[in-house]
Amino acid sequence: MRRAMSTRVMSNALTRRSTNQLALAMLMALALVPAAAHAQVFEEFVDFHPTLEQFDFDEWPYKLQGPVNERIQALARQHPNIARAHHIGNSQQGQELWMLEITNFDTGPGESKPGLWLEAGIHPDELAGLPYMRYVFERLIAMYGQDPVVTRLVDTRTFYVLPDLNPDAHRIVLSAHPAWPGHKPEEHPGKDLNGDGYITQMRWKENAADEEHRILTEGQLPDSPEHEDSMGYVWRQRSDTRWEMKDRERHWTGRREQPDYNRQWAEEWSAADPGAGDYPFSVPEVYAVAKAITDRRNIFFFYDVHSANVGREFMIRPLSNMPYQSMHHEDNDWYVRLAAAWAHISPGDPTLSDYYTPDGTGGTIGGLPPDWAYLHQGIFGLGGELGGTGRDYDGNGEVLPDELERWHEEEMGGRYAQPWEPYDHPVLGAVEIGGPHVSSQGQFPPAIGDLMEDRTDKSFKFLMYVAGLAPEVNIVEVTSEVCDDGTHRVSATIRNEGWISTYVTRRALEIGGATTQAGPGAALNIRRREFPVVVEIEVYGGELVEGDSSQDIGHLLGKLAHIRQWADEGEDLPAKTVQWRVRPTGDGPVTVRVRASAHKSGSDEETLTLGAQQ
Amino acid sequence: MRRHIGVVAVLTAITGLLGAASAVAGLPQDIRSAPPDGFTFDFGRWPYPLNEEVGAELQALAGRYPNLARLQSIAKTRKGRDLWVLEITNQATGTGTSKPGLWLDGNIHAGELTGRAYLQYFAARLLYSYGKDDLSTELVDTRTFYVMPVFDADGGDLLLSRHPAWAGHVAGEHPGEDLDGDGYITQMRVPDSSSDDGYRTYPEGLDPNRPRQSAFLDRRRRDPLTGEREGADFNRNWSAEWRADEPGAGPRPFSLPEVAAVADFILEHDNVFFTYTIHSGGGARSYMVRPPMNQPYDWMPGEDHFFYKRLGNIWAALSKGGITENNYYSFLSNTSLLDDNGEQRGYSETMVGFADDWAYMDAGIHSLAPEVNGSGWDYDGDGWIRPQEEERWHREEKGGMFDSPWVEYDHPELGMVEIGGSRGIPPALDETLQEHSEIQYDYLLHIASLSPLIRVVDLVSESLGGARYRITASIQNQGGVATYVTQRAIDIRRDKPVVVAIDVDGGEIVEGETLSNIGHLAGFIAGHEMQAPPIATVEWIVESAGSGPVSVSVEVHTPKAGKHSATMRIGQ
Repeated sequence: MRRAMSTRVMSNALTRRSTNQLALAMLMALALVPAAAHAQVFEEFVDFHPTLEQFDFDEWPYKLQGPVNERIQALARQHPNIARAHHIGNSQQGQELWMLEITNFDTGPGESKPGLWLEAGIHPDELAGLPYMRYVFERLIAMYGQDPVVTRLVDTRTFYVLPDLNPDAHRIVLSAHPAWPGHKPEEHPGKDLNGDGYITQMRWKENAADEEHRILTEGQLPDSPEHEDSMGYVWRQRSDTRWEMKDRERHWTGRREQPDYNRQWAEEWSAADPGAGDYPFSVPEVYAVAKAITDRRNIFFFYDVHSANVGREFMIRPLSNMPYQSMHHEDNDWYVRLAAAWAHISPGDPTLSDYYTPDGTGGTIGGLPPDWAYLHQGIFGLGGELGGTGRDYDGNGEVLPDELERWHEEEMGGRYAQPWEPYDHPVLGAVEIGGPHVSSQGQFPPAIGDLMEDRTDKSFKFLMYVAGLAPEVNIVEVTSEVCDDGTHRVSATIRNEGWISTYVTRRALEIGGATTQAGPGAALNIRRREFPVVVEIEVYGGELVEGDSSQDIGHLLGKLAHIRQWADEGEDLPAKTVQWRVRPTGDGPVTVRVRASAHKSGSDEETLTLGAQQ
Repeated sequence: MRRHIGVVAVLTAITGLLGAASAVAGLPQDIRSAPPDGFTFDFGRWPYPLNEEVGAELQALAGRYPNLARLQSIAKTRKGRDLWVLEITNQATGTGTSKPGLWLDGNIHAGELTGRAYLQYFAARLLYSYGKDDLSTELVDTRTFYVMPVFDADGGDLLLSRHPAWAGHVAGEHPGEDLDGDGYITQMRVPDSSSDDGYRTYPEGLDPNRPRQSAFLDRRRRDPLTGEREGADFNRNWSAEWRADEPGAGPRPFSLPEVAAVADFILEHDNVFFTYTIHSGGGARSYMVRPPMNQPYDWMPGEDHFFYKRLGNIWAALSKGGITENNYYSFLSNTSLLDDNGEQRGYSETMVGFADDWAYMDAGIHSLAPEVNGSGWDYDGDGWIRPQEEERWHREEKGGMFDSPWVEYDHPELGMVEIGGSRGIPPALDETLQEHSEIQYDYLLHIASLSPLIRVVDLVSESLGGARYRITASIQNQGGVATYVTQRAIDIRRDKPVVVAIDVDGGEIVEGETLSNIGHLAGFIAGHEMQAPPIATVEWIVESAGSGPVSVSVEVHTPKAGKHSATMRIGQ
């Protein structure tokens, strides 16, 4: 009776690049509704069936930073035309942070195309983002040339993928058990008493008649509930299988808590926030990432994956600390649309802001990276809270601990637990050892298997949808006519064929102040975060007698912003026309090359030989 | 290989779940459904039926399903038409008011006709599906649907009889005349080189200079000639934040008899927990309007806001990315308002007196209003259907069938003219009507499944020795939302608590109340943030009167969560 879930997804058959294809450009200019403008329609992706080398959905524990860095460098070596590895900094314990840049370098350097910064791993106890990000670069590279959507996006966009921002903490988590590579006993609470390779739980009954077992982490004693790892985080056992990071230990040590990498970003940073750190970007990993982003002015979208397994797969949007109406309504409209797209691609999954909760509304926390991206960089920022594990069996919108355990039992066959075995404990006497492979800092159960495969796929499609929305500067036509005095009047029409406007966010326009602002220093506005479209002309065999060789034509609206003009149908706001006059300097043909570009909107180039047209 | 295993696992999980938590359509992966085999609906019918015929068709449904559907006329319109309401519920499992109710209306605005088609589809499919589709059957057994396909029957019928070729046409009710006698009042054109398209056009008729404004929904604030105020708008005439100076407000809230009749009906049926008012003004592809229309979301209690957030995600999933928003945040509403400098105003107050705001603010129940015209395709995928896309759909999908050919005509005032052109592109028709009808069917069933639903889940007795027994009843809200439905209802004291009654036959109660108020019970969508417990127990001590059996019956009731009872015999 019920129809199978549609596998159709959004994509973005955006416009074709018409670089050096004047004929096509002219044709498109003639058609009021370009035939190629079917962006954002729901269409099929080509399925991705990774090899084990590319992706093993069952791998657990996940790869440590070393092998991930090797993979990034290997991919860059194997695919030099579309992938480059960048060493952007080191962790506090000296692990290298490698970021993979993916774009077709034959169509221009990465910085010449709209860029997406995609990262994961900011919190020590949230691991699923690491494979989500590895999946993104593996699929982009593997499907380049195979999948038309991926191919077009790699040709026209630049993806900067950082799989782990906090490898020091994750090294500890991913070596929690003696059976796992890299294990250091001193970093973990408890001890593998029975030598099965796992630090699990001990259970015993105080009295034989008791219904309930007492449970304790294997190798711990009842009076040692807290544990400090080598990162300096203090962990406290909250229940038999759950640990929590104790972020306010200053109450008993008098020292400040460890910086939380997710409270470190300058936006609304407050020294009083737990985890704020000494000053914004005081953590070297956070500084390295912020620098890598601010160094690349083509980035229009920032995405940061968390994976606290507390909910369904949800997205977190700015503003975390203020109501929606504090954001310009054009920007808010973008987030509303994006939320609807996410709820469609990952059916029914929400997009939230921390400001709104079921209990009410109010300011919450500062220093979050998506808010930093939006408020300080003027680009769209988004956080993912992608647990990748458990199912919302009861449909209440959340994946609660009992649902995680049910999923582990029913769908994973309980494979991340040890059977209960008797053990003679020197202090506690006869106990049993076994139960889930829980580590203090890690998730349980891990995001893995078919569910992981399904969710990484949805997440990937969503990111491709966002990539497809980028602004895209396009020269739709260059024409010339001969004037009475023998000069040529050259006209170029520049259009934004993308969905986002060239300023990206209205916020970007606010940050730097008005670009028309007069007075000293106006041209050196270092706060400026919006980058207008610049049109340049080069003349061969002639000279420019009217019009600037390089001019700032301001911004071009994207198709989404264009909606606000729908009451005034027919207005052509996404396009502007630039004119010059050119005088021949010799007898030969006069050729002009027109180039239009904007930092976050890519570039386009057209060449025209004057007088050659009929 | 692995992929297949994965699919099987997922399917097993879903079917298992449907079996376990029966009336929960909480899984968005599974909520697009197809009608049962054999269900047919005429999606190609245009013009849509007039009110009288809608009534006759609803009567036919009531005749075909006498145990499931009842038709009543709740009031007469100003021109004497009946306002037809079809009540759908299984009478064998209890009367309509003993179950949580949904109010669904269409065609509240005269020109927004699609609602009558969507709701005729909804009623026909729901009744046909009874006994064939599990979810539909369960919801007809345990919920009540009040379906009123036509709200502004006078205005809607006027539009659906505007051409002489159409049923019910009354000459003189419509501006213009069918000069060329082709059955349609279209346009006249004369060549004009100064015009962009080469023609000057007039509405077809003897007086080419008659004004072109809509005769049906005059939103002018005052008539320049007589000084009279504009007519009342069916969707500005409700008490929520009503303002006398709002265009279309009418002289007072509920001044329109149709609006008053519907408000009375909803309040009198205090089992109604949700209202759904279908608009189809065009523009957006799949746009869902939510309260509060005139206020930011932080004005609303967080729990109520989260209900709309949640439904917004379901709507987006069903409608392939349709958005749910209010006027306060709406890009469209805001950009239509300009400040003194001509700049867009941004977030601001917009309009007042809406039906959905009334339901939420003044009745304390949930409410949504889709804005789904259904005419045209969203070809470029921007979420909007612009006039060009409607016209393109008309040309490419419909072969331009709603245009009359241009024919020459000798006009007494203009001389030779051509008469023809658009007869008005219809709203949803054929595949677009089907698509939007199906999406809304699934959506409404999902919402129905989220109603509060009170149940006696356990009734046990324990012998205390002698003739005494302790009776314990466990009462659970098995529905999605809490028994108070909205926090707003508590604020305005329209919430009704759960009342438990015990009836003992053959004995007497020696401890405990025969009637007790146990307050509210949370629903399952509250998650761990719930404001009330999901389950409560009530205890009594009962003593048997003699040696015969004692029968204990416990009934639990609150209007918006239904009524349920359990009986047990003790002492044998």
